[in-house]
Amino acid sequence: MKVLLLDIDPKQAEKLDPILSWVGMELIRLEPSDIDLYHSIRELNPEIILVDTNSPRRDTLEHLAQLKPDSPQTVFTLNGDHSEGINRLAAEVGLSLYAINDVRASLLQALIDITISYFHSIDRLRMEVQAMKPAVEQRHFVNKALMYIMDTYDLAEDQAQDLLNKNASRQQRSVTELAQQLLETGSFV
Amino acid sequence: MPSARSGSTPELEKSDINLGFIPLTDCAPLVIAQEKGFFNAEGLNVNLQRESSWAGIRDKVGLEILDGAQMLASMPVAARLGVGGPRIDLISAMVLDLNGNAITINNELYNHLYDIDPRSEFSPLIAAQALQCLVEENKRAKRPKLRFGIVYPCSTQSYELRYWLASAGINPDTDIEIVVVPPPKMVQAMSEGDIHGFCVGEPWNTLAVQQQLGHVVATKYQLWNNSPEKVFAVSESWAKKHPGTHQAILRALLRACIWLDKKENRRSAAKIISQAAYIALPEETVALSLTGFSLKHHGKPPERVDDFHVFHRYSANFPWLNHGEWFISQMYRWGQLNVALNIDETVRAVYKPAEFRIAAAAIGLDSPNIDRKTEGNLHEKMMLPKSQHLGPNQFMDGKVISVGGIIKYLEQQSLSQADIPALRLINTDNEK
Repeated sequence: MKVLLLDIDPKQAEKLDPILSWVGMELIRLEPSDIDLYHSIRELNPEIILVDTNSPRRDTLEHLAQLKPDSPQTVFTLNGDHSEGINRLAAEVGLSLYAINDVRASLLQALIDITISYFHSIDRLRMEVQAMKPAVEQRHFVNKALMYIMDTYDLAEDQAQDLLNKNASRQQRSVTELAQQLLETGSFV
Repeated sequence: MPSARSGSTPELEKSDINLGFIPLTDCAPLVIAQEKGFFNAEGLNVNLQRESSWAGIRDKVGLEILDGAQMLASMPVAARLGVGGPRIDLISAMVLDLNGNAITINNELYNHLYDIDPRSEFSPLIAAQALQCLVEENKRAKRPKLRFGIVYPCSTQSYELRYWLASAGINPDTDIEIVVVPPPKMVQAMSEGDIHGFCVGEPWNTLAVQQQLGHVVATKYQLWNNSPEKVFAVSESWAKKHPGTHQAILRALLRACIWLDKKENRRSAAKIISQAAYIALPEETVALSLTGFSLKHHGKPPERVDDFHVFHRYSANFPWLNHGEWFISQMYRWGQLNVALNIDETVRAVYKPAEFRIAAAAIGLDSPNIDRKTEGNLHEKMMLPKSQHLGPNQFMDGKVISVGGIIKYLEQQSLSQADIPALRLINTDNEK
């Protein structure tokens, strides 16, 4: 099954890539310079088209759909029913879908569902990774500071940790803060 | 006992509103309602969203991602019927403007037509006949077909271009090639030689002439005086859920249209809508047609055409059912619609004169008492200079459509693919 990605920015396309290849669909992309959609779409004969909801070339796709009834048509409902998935695909992912009439609604539904949940899970993961970053960075400072103390005062790791903790609590500051200062100034105070 | 709530400001079901528009001169009613505070005065907090395709606007309104939008007058009808796209139940209770489009052809093609008949310069009918000669010549010489750009398959522009071509016997589906190009790409496509002509809304015709790329051979006004161009459309289910908000939007848009139709406001309207957030073109380009000048030929002064854009006068905002009928007649004519259906039922489902009357009455405006009017019977020269209720409504080919006479009219149209007997059978009650 041939899926054409049209006017989808590279980041979005990168996300779509694995989904489509996992289910065994063949991915085709059009270069932005490929101006004559009439020619290229007839040539490529895609069964499904995924296009940026805000692409100015959508009206040309509508015309192609009208000229050739067996070419991909706008998917607005599934089996004639309103589909929350199509709404979310447009509103949340920013994609619109065209498919030839032979493609079963159940397949489209699955494609829509997988795409939405995959996009969401990627976005969620990115957010979680983003949230983890400061904690990782803080640990990095503390580790470096411990190395510094061990080297400078010739102490073992537990003794270095003890020294850092005691100084921090005496100054009523966090261990990370003190570690950062120690690395920048070489001084506990 | 608490007194009955005054009926002047019905409750808003929703006050944060997203409305879509396409960067064209006739997005003005939405922009002016926003910039001049007409939305605000109704308690609406509106976000105007610039959209880049008609299909995008249609789908977003259908999915209620947008609350409402500027739309081609033919779109809600086409969407209701699933012609040239998916079936979507849209409605419209208000027309935003009349006229405003034109057909522009590139210099080379214009020079050909001018050589065949120099009256092509000012007569759309003669220009079409000259084009017909050229099309025949091209056929004999086995030259490739001429290509014309439109913005959307079932658009007002498509039907206007087809009307013009067919007036001289040119079959738009077989004698030339029609392609869809987004409005902002239209002028570029002409300069790159991808298309020989186009039918599009302003300011793109003026821009093409100013850049000396082409000549205007017909305006929408010349093809059919004061015909509807853009409407304000919402989805039927949205309208049911938000009747108060819908009315508030209609009132604000009506006020904007009244403001826009005052001559003294057109200049500042041009300044506002040409801004980067809206049309993003030079103010002078936008101002020309908006202040009533039709620029057709480079090197010649623009013609004075007061009605180039009409936003309110001539009962412009009223959703005349017979306008919907005309679009349906053209869908039949060009074979886009081939199932015979009850035309009256369809237009009544889409165009909502009753809703319009409520909004108009709320701001003290009179509305027509009838839902349909005769078209093609009022000539410019018959009109009193200050006539406000009805404007000239002539067709280029001189045809008249009486109320209830749409099938009779369709029967007279050349190149038509309509199945007249089938249509008669199903529309017996309404047809005179």
